[in-house]
Parts: sequence; structure tokens; C-alpha cells
Amino acid sequence: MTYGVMEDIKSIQQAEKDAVEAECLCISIGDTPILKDVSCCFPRHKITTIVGPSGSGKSTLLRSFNRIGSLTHGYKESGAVKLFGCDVTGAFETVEDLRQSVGMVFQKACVFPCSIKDNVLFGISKQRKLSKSVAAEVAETALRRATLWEEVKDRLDEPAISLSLGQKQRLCIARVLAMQPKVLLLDEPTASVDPLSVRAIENTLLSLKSDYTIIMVTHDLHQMRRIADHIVFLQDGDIVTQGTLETIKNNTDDDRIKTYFETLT
Amino acid sequence: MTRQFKSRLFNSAVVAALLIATCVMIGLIMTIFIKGAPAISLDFITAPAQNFGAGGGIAYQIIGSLIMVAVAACLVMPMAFGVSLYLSEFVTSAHMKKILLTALLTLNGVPSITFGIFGLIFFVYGLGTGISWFVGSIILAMMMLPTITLSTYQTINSIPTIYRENAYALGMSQSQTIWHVLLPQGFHGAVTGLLIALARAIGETAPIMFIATAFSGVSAPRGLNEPVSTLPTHILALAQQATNPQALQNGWGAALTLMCLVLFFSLTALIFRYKLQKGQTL
Repeated sequence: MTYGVMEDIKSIQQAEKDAVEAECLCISIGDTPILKDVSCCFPRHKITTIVGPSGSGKSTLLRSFNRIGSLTHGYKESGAVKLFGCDVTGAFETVEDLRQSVGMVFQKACVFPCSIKDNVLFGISKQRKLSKSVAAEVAETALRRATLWEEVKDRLDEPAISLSLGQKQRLCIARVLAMQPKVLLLDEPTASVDPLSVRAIENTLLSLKSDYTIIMVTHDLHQMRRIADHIVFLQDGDIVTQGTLETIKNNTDDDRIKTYFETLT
Repeated sequence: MTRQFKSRLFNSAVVAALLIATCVMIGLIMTIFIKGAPAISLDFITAPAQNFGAGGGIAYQIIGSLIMVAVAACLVMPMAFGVSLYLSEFVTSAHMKKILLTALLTLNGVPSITFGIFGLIFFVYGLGTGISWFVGSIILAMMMLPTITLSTYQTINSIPTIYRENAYALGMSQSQTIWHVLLPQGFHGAVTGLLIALARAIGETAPIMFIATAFSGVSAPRGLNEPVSTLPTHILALAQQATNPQALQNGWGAALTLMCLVLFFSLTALIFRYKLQKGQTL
């Protein structure tokens, strides 16, 4: 077998294993480099947490997967981001198609000024026409998956603004799930919610990982320990290490990781 | 001077300024009401003017004012939305944005007579439209444009970026984001701007005096190229007949009607905005 064929087989096998890959990814905003030659992978049907100190480029990396980062003025990117083995720039006809496949939940819960039900259907109803019964079914399924259905089933037509912060964040997850994405990106989704809501969101994510690939940025190392299957550790725009929590804790002599993970114990 | 004294002095100055402004406003409203009320009757509102306004009513003046302002509002609203969206969503250069905003602010400060002269030179003489209420509406729309645009722009600009990002992250295109996220919110700002601009436009005499109105002998317009008579120009014409008490009283009556129209527009717009805003604010 030639070297080229071996490489092809390797990349196919990798694509079957990983949902998202970054290859030699460099991102800068204006003249400031944010990510420097980053290569990492995010396994399918697992929760991967991206951790690292503030300003290490975690959110920038996450935002490159659905190209939402490119909305930033002065954004420049080189290298490749692959989704199931295909380059995201070529695999989708439009960037909107990509974003429907790679859903994203942001740090601050953002509900639109309409009812709970309309919020869940906000994205999908703009992409395709839904009959009343289908819309109701989509909303119920998404809310059930986001473990919010029981709390809101009797007040679906009430304004979403009336929900608590934790419920709003789960509503955002439901809204993304209604789009039926393959990958779920979460940028510190529990940063501004109370501990009970944090647990509710974590349980939601754990229940979702069998069907979705979840990539989450977090500063909370305890949370990382609770839910992460795979960890990517980033510092100063560079990947320091990646793997399971145990692998990272046991197999490194890097002082940066030691110092960072000391806070866990 | 102690801090407490300074604070009291400041508070007193604020209260004094408020009292002066309120007294002037109440005085003005009361004067117009007391002098205008005797002239008001159903006949006065529904009958056409006679004897250069000294007799009859102000029916055609009300119609003229309403038509001109309503058409101006219809012309200016899409323009204002377009300009404010362009400014907030499409202009990326901060320098260019500053230039355009300065231009809008300057346009907002242009004296109304200048708009009138422009209309006279460009439309009436240049394009040969003649005296036309429609040209008057265009000029009023030009006058209203910066007020509504700035108000809409400020509202759209104050929508947190997170809403745009969420919309884009849901796979919505820029046009869908504008249509479904930004415009519904910008609408409140546009209504506020429209309210201020309408109140200003309906009371304007200078910009429409030479291009859209006739002081007497007009009825409801049957085409675009006809002049109308409006309440402000009618009040001006009646005020010049100071020796005729009947004409003066009709003038006060027309002023009271104009004030009520402005109040009606303002209240309608405020109620409309409140109903829209209820439960819809980001």
C-alpha cells in the first residue's frame, strides 16, 4: 500500500472518530494573533470541554467551528476546520447551512421578544414552513430534550422573558436543538446561572451527548471534571494538551498544566 | 460652600427650570384654549373657509394638513429605515459612520425655510411641478428624515450584539436577521422619531408656503399637482387680518385645532408604541 493511500485511510478513520477537527488553524483579529497553528480534534458523541486561562483563545476556537467569528471586524483565518472530515468552507453551500448543522449557545442567555414556543421555533421557522401540528411537535421534542418541557408545558404562549436565567439558557439549547444540528457548541453556558441551574444544564448536556457532539468552553474545572469526556487545554493561543482528564493529569510534566489543574484539588 | 449647600442649590435650579418651562407651556396652552374655544363648533370644523378665512370654517385646512403630513410620513418611513439600517449594519468604517451621522445631524439643524427654498428652486422652477401639495409632502419628508433616522438608528444600534449573533448562529441570513430581529425592535424608535417629526412637520409654515399651499380659494385636492391650504398657513393668513376680530378668533380656533391634532398624533403614537413594546423589548 502506498503512503498516499495509507494517509487517506487514516483520515477516513479519523473522520469516523472525530466530528470536528482543527488543522493548523491560525486566527487573528486585526493585527493581534489569537490562535497560533492550532490542531485538535473533537470526538463524536462526546462532551469535549475547551479549558484554559482567560484570553487563551477558547471562544475564538469555538466560534471558528460555525464561522460566527468571521462576523468580527478584522477577522482573519488560515488553516482548516473540518466537520466529519470535510472542510467547512467547501462542504456547505452557504455559511447559513453550516450554522444550521453546528448549533451554538452563548454565555448570556438570549431570548427573543416573543413567546416560549415562538422562541423554540425562532430559527427553524425561518428555514422552512411548519404546519401548526408539526410546529407544536418540534417545540415539544426540543423542549423535552432540553429538559424544560415539564416546567413550561402549561405556559408555552407566555413571553420567554418571564423565565428564570437557567430556564432561559435551556430554552436557548432547545432553540438550537429544534434546528436538528449535528454538533452543539456552548460558550460558557453556565457562567451566569445559579448552581441549581448549572446542574440542570449539565444534566441536559449529559442526556444529549448520545445524539450530539458537544463542544463546550468552560472556566469551571469542577464542571469539566463532572461532564467532560475529552479536554482540550489551550493557553496563549496554543494547544498545550488534549485528551481525557486522567491522561492530562497523569501524563504531563508541563508546569502550565500543573499550575492550572492544581486548582482542581 | 458646603457640599450640602451646593446640592440644594443645584436641586433648586433644576426645580426652578422645570417650573419656568411648565409655566410657559401651561400659559401657552391656556391662552390658545381660552381664545380658541369660543370659535370651535361642528360647523367650524366641517365647513369650508369663506371671506379669506374671516367666515366659515377650516375643513379644507384640516384635510390639507392631514394629507400632506400623512403622505410625508409614508414617504419618509421606508427611507428612514433604509438609512438607519445602512448605518448600523452595512457601514463598517467608524470614520464613514461618523461622517454620515454628522451629515444627518446637520440636516436636522437646517432651518425649515431652506427646505422651502430648495423645493421652490428644484421642484417648482427646476422640474416645473408648479405649486403642488405632493411637492410639499416630499419637502416635509426630507425635513422629517433625519429625526426619524437618528431615532431609529439609535434604537437599532442599542440592540445588543448577542441578538444578532444568536440569529446568525441559528442559520439566519443577514436579511432574515434584519427583518425578524432588528426591524421589529427598530420600529419603536421609528415611531418615537415619527411622533417628534410629525408634531414638527404639521406645524410648519415656512417650507411649504411657496411650494404647496394657497392662502385661500382652495378645496380638497383632486390631483397631485394642486395646492392645498393647511392649518399653519391659514393661521398666518388670519393673523395678518388683525383688525378683523372675527378673523382673529377664527385664527385662535385654527390654532387650537392644530394643537389638538398634534396632541392626538402624539397620544396615538405613544399608545401604539406602548402596545408594541409591551413584552417585546429585548
